[in-house]
Amino acid sequence: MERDELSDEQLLEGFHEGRQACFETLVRRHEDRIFALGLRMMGNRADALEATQETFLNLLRRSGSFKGTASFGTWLYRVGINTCHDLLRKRNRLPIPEETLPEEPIRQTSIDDTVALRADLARALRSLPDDYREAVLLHDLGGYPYEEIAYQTNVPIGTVKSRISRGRRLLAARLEQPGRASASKPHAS
Amino acid sequence: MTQTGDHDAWSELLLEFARGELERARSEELEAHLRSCADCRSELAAVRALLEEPASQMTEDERAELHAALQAGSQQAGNVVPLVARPSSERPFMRRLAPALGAAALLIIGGVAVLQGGLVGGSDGSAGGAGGSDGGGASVQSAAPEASRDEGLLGRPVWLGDLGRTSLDKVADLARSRSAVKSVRVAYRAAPTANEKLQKELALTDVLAPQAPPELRDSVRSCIDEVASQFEDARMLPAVGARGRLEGTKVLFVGFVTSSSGRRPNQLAVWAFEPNSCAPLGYQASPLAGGP
Repeated sequence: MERDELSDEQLLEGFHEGRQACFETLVRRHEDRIFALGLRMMGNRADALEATQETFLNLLRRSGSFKGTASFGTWLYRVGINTCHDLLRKRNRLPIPEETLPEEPIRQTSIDDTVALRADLARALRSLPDDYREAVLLHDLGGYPYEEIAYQTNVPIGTVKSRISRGRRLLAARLEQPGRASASKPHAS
Repeated sequence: MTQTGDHDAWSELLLEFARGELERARSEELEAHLRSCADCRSELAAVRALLEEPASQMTEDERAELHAALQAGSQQAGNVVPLVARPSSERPFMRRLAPALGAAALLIIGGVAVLQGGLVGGSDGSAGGAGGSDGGGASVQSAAPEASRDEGLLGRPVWLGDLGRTSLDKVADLARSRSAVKSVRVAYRAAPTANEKLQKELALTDVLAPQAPPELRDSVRSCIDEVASQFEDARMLPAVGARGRLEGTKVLFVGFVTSSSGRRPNQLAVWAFEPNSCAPLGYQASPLAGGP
């Protein structure tokens, strides 16, 4: 069977057995999704690339902690979220200091608009409670179903739905008031 | 489910709706609900903000940088992962050269081969692994020469030679034109811990100094140590070296990739030293593209 036809879990098993090419295939299969996640959480491409790199290095180091009882994709996505969060925390960028933000969120050109909106989104995401941010990113960006998220995060499915719904509304509110993204944070339920 | 007041049920359909994947009849019902439910409108705005990203895929350069870094990182972890870059207009030439020249010759090619070499080189040394992205990983691992592993691990500082009469600006421009700078950044970033990053920083000197003429090798080491000892809190990664004349004086140039703020290295700093005393005679720093 070709490697591209193997499941993630089969590739990981192959990697653990010493078939290095299986890791390569896993990287290629997931790199764009992890980079897209990093772009939203980190707010710029250079940091998103670093976060992507760190995520896969973490996979190299910690792949043994994947139990194989749930989706590898969801597990890796959570590793990506945590990696971004750790990188941001190390840089004391939770939230982004005001002085590093664009002076005016909306600029004239589409490129500037993209950069400004990306920075606003990253800042708004950082301002969410961890559990809300994780649930929203897993579901709305990662596309993972409620049941899978509940299993991975070890909470009831009702809690997952609640976190996503509340997280979205908080995110929208922060995006409407970009300058206040670092305001008080509610506690996750 | 179809009650317009049932916010929770509608909330579960917002992602499909935002992606345009909801069937038409249900979409129309949801649109009707949205007109009366501010919470759902708010949620939908958030979902759309997350999904709206026009350029969220990596560029080929970014992809190549990622693969090179992972290759270096995996080698450090004891695994050789033959991540081969997707085809570009330049790499097939290097692939054809690789089996004939071997890793040592690629090192001599120096700057030209660095990033391509980081990828091609990961599978180049094994010759058989260069056949494409599906080249057999296990055979590459067993055949990869030790020298090739070290190069990928360390990055590849480059000795630029005798530049004659020159300036700090010209040395900086020359350094930027060599992918040594990029390889050093990539290799450094791939080091997983602070201690390993420090070890890598120290080891870069061991790659650069032997490339200098014998009479300058001790000076290269001494001058790098001198600068590093003055900036203990900064990262000082030697990427290029050269000798030349600066305003009529014979000098030793060393170009460092440096960190200006405790974050990842994002500057190129070129120093000119009096070769025997390592007294600094000139200095120039400028940001590197692609840095934070």
